[in-house]
Amino acid sequence: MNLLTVRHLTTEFRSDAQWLEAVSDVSFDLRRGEILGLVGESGCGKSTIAYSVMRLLARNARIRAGEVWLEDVNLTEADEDTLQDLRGSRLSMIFQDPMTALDSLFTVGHQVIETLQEHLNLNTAEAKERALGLLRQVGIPAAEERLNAYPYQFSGGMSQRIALAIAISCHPQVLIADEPTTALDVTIQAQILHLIRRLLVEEQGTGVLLITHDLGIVAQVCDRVAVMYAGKIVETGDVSSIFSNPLHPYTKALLNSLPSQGIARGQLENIQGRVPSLADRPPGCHFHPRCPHAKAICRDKAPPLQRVSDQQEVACVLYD
Amino acid sequence: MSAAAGQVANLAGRLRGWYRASRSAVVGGGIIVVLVILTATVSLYSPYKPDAMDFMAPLSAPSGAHLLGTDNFGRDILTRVLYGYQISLAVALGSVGFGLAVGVSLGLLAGYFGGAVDNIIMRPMDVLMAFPAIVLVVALTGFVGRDVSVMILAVAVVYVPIFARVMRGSTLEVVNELFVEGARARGASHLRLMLRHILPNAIAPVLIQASILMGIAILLESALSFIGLGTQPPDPSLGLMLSEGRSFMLQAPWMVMVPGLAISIAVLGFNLLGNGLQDLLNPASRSAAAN
Amino acid sequence: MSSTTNGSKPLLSACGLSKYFPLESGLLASLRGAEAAAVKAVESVSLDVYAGQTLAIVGESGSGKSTLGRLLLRLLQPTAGEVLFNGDNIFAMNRAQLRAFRRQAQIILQDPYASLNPRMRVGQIIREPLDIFREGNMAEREKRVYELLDRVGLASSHARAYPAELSGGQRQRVGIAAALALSPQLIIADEPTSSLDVSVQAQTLNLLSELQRDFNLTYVFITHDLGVVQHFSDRVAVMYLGKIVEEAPTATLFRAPQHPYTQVLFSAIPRPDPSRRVNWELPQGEPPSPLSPPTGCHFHPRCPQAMTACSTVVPRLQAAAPERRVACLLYADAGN
Repeated sequence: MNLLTVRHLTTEFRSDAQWLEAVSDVSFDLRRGEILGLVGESGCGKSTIAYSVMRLLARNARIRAGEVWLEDVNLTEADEDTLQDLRGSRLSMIFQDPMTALDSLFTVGHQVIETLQEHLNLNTAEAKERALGLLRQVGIPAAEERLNAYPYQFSGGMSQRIALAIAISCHPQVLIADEPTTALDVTIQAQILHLIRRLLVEEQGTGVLLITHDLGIVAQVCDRVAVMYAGKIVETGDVSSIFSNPLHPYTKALLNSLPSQGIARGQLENIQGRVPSLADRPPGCHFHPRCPHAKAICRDKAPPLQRVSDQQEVACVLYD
Repeated sequence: MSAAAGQVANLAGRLRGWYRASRSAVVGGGIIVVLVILTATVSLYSPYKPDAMDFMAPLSAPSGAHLLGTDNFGRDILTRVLYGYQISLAVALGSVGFGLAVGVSLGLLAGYFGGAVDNIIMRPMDVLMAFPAIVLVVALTGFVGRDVSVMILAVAVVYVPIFARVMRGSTLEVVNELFVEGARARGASHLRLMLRHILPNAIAPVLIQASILMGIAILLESALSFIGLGTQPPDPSLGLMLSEGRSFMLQAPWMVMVPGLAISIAVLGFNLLGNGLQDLLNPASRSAAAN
Repeated sequence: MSSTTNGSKPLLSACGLSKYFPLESGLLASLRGAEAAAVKAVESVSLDVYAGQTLAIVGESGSGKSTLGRLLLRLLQPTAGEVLFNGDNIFAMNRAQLRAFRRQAQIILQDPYASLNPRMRVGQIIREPLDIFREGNMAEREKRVYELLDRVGLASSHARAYPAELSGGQRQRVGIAAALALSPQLIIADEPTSSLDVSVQAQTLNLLSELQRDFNLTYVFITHDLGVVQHFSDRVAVMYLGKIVEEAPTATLFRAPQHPYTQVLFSAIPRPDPSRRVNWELPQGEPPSPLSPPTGCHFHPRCPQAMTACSTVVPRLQAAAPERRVACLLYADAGN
């Protein structure tokens, strides 16, 4: 069952007098009880997808085409009232910087309780009880005292736990996590990701869209993955297939560029050149100037995402 | 010829860029440039001498012969205002220049070395700063004498601690930047660190302050001259003209209105420039304008 | 004094190196004197770095690894201990000796956005070390700048650019070129690739290892990225709250980490291999604040194998096997 259905999403940014596509014709599904990894290098458009789904785009950005459905609700056409109802209840988001979600002027308890009361019909005592339970669930020690603490009194890891507690307070169907652990240490990162997996996905069947640049995280916690390059999904499928049998030249190169012990020093495969900026994405397949297998046709034709097996879809002429 | 034309086009392009980044910087800067050119060349185009009296036409209203009228001695007010600007601008430039040189050096040293050096430099600055500016200037001019150079010095003394404090603050921000540490690891001397790495990255707020203090210097010079401690008659000074005009306010209102307006325009120019620099020197807004 | 291991002398060697940052400064604190509280960022660290090798210093935030890196270059004054470079204590050096040391030991900084002076052109940045040490005349310096640009894979046209016009990877190359300008023996790299994308990280790591091979450079790599450590280093020192808890050759350490913290740390690295998923129940709790580190072994409150003695006894870093040191009571000999 699809919780989130994204079809042909195209989002663009205004720069001077022209509109530049940050996300081009992206389609994917997010199912109940799974973690879908959206992976790519900076500037590939993965965060823009998150903000498009949440309908939280900056003023200089707009969705030009496509649809986003949260079950039976068309998010691309929903009005602001509907969206506000949905955000925080059925659709939640956590960010790289947990402070984005926390107001430094109010106690943590106040903020959790406020979210609860906004979306659920609870009196203050009930809401407080619920908040306490949530803080315990996300692993805040001495939760009772911490309810009265202010965000600055928490470490980065603790703040992210609280942001998570707020995000999951109303049992969202979909959680979008935008690089939620990038600013944290690895041991804390492991704790937070474990929490998301166990608390949300396994216990509540939440669908999680996990945006990350870290292929290790994808391998460890995601069920399926979509690899993005220059605004498009170039390959998607279940995690074990993609890691054991990457098809798109970009996915291959990305996996081979990871340092590990097996590879002699100085021999990391590197992709020549660099990610093109929004303004000068090449025509045809955006990856062709850096691709070792590029043919003449790659310059003219942008290959669509095509199913090559039960587990995998890839956008590359090599697999036509 | 075409090279010159290219340069002009280039300059025009730059001005357009600046104008987009900060309208007030370009407008303020424009006012000041026009004032400086007009006052610097006044002797070339004005048919009158600033102290040439015309007893046939005292207190005459603005007319074709005297665009902004004459004063009680029949002196051309426009000419006197433009000469008056020379003194105003000299005091502004002199005091700010001197204040910048001393204040920036002291603030840079205090912020860079910190600790005892900071205390030795900044505590006297605090004391100096605690004096009301106008009182300090009055005391100094009264003590040393009445001359443009004394006025410049007096205003500069007020300005040094202001510049020192701003410079120290922005030095403290830059001194912990990674690139400063990198240069230190490469073996850069204290002098190189301060002049090559910190100064260029820390000077922006000081320049903004300088522009605003220029305007205040013009006010100070006018005020001192107004109360008789600044420029002495018959030299033309805006403050002095205001003071002299008071007695004729009813018969010849232009005697006070023109120098009053002249002071306002100059101060406005410097303040607009200061506000504008704030946008222009802030890298975030600058890059936004470039894109 | 000089310590010897395996017959060869270390290029760089730290002995009992400590750095405490006082919490309050000023008159009141100095009146109270010795009792003033301090953060023990680095606590009696000893290590050796051999010529041509790479030592990785690994740890999470608050472990003191960056402070240690700065001490090794005398960018900070230590509270105690010494650092020997080719046998000379760098903290006892006079001006001339220190100048000579700075030529030989360079740093590559983490954030390529903050580590380059935004008001200098790339050419000036790379030339600066040559200016400082008055290497050759202007023409020769310019020539060397272009050589260096070429060596790190930048175009000569980049010399006129400002850092803001370059990408993150290109900026890091500028930092590397400037560090190389004086042909140093030792380079300390503080998280050199942590803010770069994977593909750019690979390019940068390849460049660094080529340079090491070509110029017989010695690296100290400060990082939290264990993939980079495993790929790049010969030896690893793991730090936790200011202390080295384990030190060993890279392959040995990754095959069988001994200190419980090393084990927890390694289990928490997300490995890019979905067939070997780790159950992340293991890492418990948060690193304690360096302001009030736990008594005994700093790791004991989070340690899955903690014993009662761990809360009182401070374990010494001692040889657990040849070339391997561990600071943990589990591996302490009876005599301790």
